[in-house]
Amino acid sequence: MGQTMLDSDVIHGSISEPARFALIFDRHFGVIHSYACRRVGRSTAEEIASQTFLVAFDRRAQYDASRASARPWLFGIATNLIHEKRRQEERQFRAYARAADVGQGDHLEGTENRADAVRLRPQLVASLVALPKEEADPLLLFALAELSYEEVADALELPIGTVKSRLYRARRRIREQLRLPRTSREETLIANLEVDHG
Amino acid sequence: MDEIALIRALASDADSFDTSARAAARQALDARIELASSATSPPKRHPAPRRRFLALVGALALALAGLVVFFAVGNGSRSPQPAYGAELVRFAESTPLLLLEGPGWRVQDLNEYKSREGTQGLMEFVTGKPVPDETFRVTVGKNGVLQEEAGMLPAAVRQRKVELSWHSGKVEVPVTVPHPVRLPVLGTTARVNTHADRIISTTKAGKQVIEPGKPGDRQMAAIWTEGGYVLELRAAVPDLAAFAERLDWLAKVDSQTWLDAMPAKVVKAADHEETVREMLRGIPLPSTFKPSRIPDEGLTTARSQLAGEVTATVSCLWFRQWGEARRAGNRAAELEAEKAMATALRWPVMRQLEREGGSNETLLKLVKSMPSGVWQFGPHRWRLLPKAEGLGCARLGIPLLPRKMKRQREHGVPLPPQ
Repeated sequence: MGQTMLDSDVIHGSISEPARFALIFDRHFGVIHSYACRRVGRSTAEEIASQTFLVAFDRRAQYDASRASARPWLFGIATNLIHEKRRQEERQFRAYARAADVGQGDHLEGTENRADAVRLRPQLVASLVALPKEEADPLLLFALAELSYEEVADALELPIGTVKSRLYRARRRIREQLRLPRTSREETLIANLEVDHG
Repeated sequence: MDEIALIRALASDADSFDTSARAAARQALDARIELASSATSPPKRHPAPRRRFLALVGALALALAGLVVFFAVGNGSRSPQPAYGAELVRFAESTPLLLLEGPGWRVQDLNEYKSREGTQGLMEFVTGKPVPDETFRVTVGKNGVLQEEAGMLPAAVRQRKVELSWHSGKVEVPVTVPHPVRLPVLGTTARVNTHADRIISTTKAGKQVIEPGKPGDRQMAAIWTEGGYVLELRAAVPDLAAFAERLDWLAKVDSQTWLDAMPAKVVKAADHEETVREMLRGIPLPSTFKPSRIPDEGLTTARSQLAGEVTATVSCLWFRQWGEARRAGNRAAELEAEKAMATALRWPVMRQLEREGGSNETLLKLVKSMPSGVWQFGPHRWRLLPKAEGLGCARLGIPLLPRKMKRQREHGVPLPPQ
């Protein structure tokens, strides 16, 4: 039976054997491309995803070997590269607002929710575009890249508490602008965060 | 419905995957990897012959920055009481001066060089027959699963070798230490990674398979600092006690003892000029060549490293003539350089290196690309001269590109290593 090497071992090995780094590309290109695609659209995503691995390759000697998975690190690099394409990202989000449907995503169940999603889309896009970078990055890594809090913290090199509070603030802003009700679970979560982070 | 679900729904159609995007990105990365492979590298844990030669001929950055290696030359006979020059001793004193004093163990190889970041080095100690370098051939299947890693030596052979590497200054060599154990070494404490190699390649029922390393296959690594150096000792051992024993064998010695322990295959400082003369035999030399072009720091040098300096110096001078001739439209000078370099693979020193397991593919590709002036890699095309700079020409004081020549004029000769 085959055994998969940890990303950290592969990257460490690529210091002396650069060709080994191709394995990191093979493992993670898909998710990085997908994330970039969602934020800046396909044409710019190709550039972002490609550049992410070039930057990562050049910085492999600085990789923190205690991090077994390189995924958060790569998302962090991609996120920084996306900052340089802020205008492109806005264009992409406005294109979402103009789209006629909510796509084939399985994030929404029921026709009522899908109808709501279409109705709320312009305000959602406006809210996302207006978010400060510090809040948008954790939110989009959490929502679009589906990273955990810990992974978002790794990607952005932030304490996990900071990530949680920024996510909380971003989500609250959007909820307020979309006038979405809070669920009881969210009420509890938010109450806990407010206790944790003042 | 919450805002996260809304955001995901918003962008759910945007992640359609495009295989051409992946292919283009992979090609770009491969090009970067190739560039790095031909312009590397720090001391190698398992220096494959091909990489060793690429470092010599393709990227003399390391070799020319002040390396000192003892390597075979001539009959290797040594006087009973060798007398080393003050410069050589001074150099030896700038190294950690460590030996592995286990019964029957000796120095098999040493590779040390100076760069802007400081000194780096790698020593190999063996017992019994010489232990060859391991080479790696990695095959990766779907989903990034490693399918094959071939070329590793049997455990019994691996256990006859210990590697000691060191670096100083700002040089960073990350070390994975997932299971730190502490062991004493040279009056200090080393952090030990008992699982430095996690996997091995083995044959079962006629098929090559990958499985977790077992005691003996597995390398352990110790890392510690001493006298401004970060040192790392690696060895394949059956258990931690054997690794502790190898650490215990390490001893600090004086420069004379250290030099005496070096393998007989060395080019001594006094033999430098004569050895260079031998190596130049059969090589067409440009009119700009002078023997003083070959760096001579008055130190001992590995024969292979010196051969790299000689061939790179001559090649750089020919490429310089070629580049200048093309810019000036001097077709005769351009053709003369192309013709001379076309003989490179027949140079006796090149053949010798090839016999020793080196690869000449970088130089071959440069020579083959001269008529078109273009270096091609997949769909990518680059001007040849910047690629030829990868021979280490600027560091040899023979920059090929006008902007580097300008910098050289402004900053003196040669340029600092990069």
